[in-house]
Amino acid sequence: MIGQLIRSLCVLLHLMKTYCFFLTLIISGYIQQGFTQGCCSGGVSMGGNMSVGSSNKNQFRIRLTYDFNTLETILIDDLVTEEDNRKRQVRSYILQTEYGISDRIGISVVLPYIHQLREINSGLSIDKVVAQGIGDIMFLVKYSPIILQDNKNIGLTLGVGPKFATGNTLNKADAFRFLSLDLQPGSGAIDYVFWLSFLKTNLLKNQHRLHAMFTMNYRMTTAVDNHEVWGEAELGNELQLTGGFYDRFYIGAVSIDPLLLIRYRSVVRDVRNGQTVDQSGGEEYQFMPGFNVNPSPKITWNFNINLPIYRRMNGTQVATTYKFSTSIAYRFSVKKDDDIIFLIPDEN
Amino acid sequence: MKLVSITALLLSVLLIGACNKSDENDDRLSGGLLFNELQDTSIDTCGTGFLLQKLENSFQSTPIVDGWTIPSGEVKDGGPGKDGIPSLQNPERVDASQVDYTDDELVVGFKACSKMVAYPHTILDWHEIANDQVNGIDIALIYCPLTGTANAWNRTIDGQVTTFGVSGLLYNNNIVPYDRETDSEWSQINLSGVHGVNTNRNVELYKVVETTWGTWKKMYPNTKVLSENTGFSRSYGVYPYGSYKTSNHLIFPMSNTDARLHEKERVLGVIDGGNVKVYRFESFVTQGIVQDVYGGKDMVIAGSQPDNYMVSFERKLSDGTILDFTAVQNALPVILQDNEGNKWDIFGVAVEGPRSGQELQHTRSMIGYWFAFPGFFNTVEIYE
Repeated sequence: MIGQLIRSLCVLLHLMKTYCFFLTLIISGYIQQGFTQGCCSGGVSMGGNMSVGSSNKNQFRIRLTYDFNTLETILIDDLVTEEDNRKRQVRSYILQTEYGISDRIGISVVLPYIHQLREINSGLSIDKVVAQGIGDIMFLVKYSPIILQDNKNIGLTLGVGPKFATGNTLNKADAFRFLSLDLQPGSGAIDYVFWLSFLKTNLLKNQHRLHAMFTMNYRMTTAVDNHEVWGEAELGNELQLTGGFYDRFYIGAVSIDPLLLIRYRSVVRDVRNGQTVDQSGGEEYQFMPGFNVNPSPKITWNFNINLPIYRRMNGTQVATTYKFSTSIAYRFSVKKDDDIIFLIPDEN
Repeated sequence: MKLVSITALLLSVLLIGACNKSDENDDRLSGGLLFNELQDTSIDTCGTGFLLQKLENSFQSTPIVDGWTIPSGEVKDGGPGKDGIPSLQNPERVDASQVDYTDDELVVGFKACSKMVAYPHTILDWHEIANDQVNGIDIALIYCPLTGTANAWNRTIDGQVTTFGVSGLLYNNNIVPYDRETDSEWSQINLSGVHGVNTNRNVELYKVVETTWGTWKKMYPNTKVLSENTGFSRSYGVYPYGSYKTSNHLIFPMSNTDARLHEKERVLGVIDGGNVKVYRFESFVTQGIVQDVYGGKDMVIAGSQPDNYMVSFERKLSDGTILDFTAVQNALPVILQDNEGNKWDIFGVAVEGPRSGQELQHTRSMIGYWFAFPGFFNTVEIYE
């Protein structure tokens, strides 16, 4: 019992030590910029839910993520108002399956299920609306020109693919009235996703634990025309950059990766029937501490929180107040002889 | 001594009763939101006992399908949600000298005898509805930024004073207010209840004048105006819809479109049942008038492009007399004179002459973007 307590304290101290080390690096200017999230939009941002790095030959990876995003901060540009009468809660359940055709080429499929609650308190009554359903499915083909197995301590993976309009866009408030596009789990449009992942392991010569990672997601949107529902609509293009460091230490056979990431997210204004929607889009920097626990090479549990650092929304919008994600990933090989390789932590 | 004590006791009871009644009223008006306790509550009856002309809408009852009198499938969720755009409750009003609004900002002016209030678009753009009481009259100033239409509704329905809120719904891009007494939805341009208990109930309108802050101030220097101290943090100097005012695009689809004019040209629509006739500012390059017949009624439309107003009245008086009007130049708020020697102000009240104090019959009319009218009316005529 005492042994377990000491062990837990040791883990806690180790995590704190690692985070302090990361923070020192960041403050000393190792990272000049950090990273964002805008407000509400149709569908859900899935760019941050891609696993980082290359695929491994003949290896399957299945990952289930639960993402909880509470938006109740009303912003005017970068000014946080004192209003607290509006709330949105977005719960996303995201299933990602990945398969490595080779060590350099892999395919990934992301399937989300989204539950969204909108609540407005007028002071006289509270209006609640719930929308839920399957979101847009994303396919990604990944190619790794440089992989960690090349022993260069560097990994670079590029990905490209479509996000299909499979998501539910027809949630109704009552028998006839469709909810607005930003409440729908799907966007109704085919988007194109461009993805990049960069890893640098063993960052310090005398320190074989510290690693750096960087990912970029760019979602190029297209317009969808559904006259019956909302006319022609195009959500704004979205850029998401995530970067930071991770460590790895072991407690017995269990490896633990403390993560310290910063995310920048920028979303262009939406367009409705040719008219730019002024109160949409914006940019945000988020601080994302988290950790992975790997009880075995096959299983990874991830948890992280997103804390807004700085936001500049376009006009008046409801923005994220807090957000957390947790996921469980399982890897297995289709060939018995293949080793299960896991070198890279998960990032939400 | 005993008599004095009893009198004092009775007075105390009456006073406490009055205070309690006043508190109840405050609660009702504030609805838990903002209540301005500094409003002028004295009532001016214009010296005649007459308060203000209310105009019944003449829309005929419309068939109800799926509980709605408008096509339910064309009622859109605008996005912010019910009360996501917060209406104002008895908003603070200040003197004209206490604000620095620019002269070319549009305002919706309301006048009840000697009490005038200007409701700036820059505030209404963010709230759309102001539930107010002016000179003892409970009004809801309803404004739709997407269709550019504004009017003042009587808030007293079946003897009950209600407040209106923004339902978050749009029909043909136009605001769908709801009343908090029955939760019924209404259409601003249809001027009637479209869903709920008040379905097919017509709106009672009060006359408003939409013009610039500069013109309104010039006409009524003693006016009150909404202050930016609304209790909400909003960028009141910033138009929330970007280029929408001038672009040729709409945010939601229309059930009917008409390309004869630029979609965002501001016109005055004079309503006759299910039909409308629109008048353009270009017909009033200088201060001028048009005498026209529409819907079998003789009308006079007065307007000015530089002063940025258009108003319309019936020429026929209640005694059957049909007046002939000419424009009065540079004498705002007086804009008309007639063949009997009367002079009339912008609200249609005779301010000089034998009919002094009389009022012209208002028309059902509103200024709005051109595109809005074809979506609501069977025929749309343009005055040439």
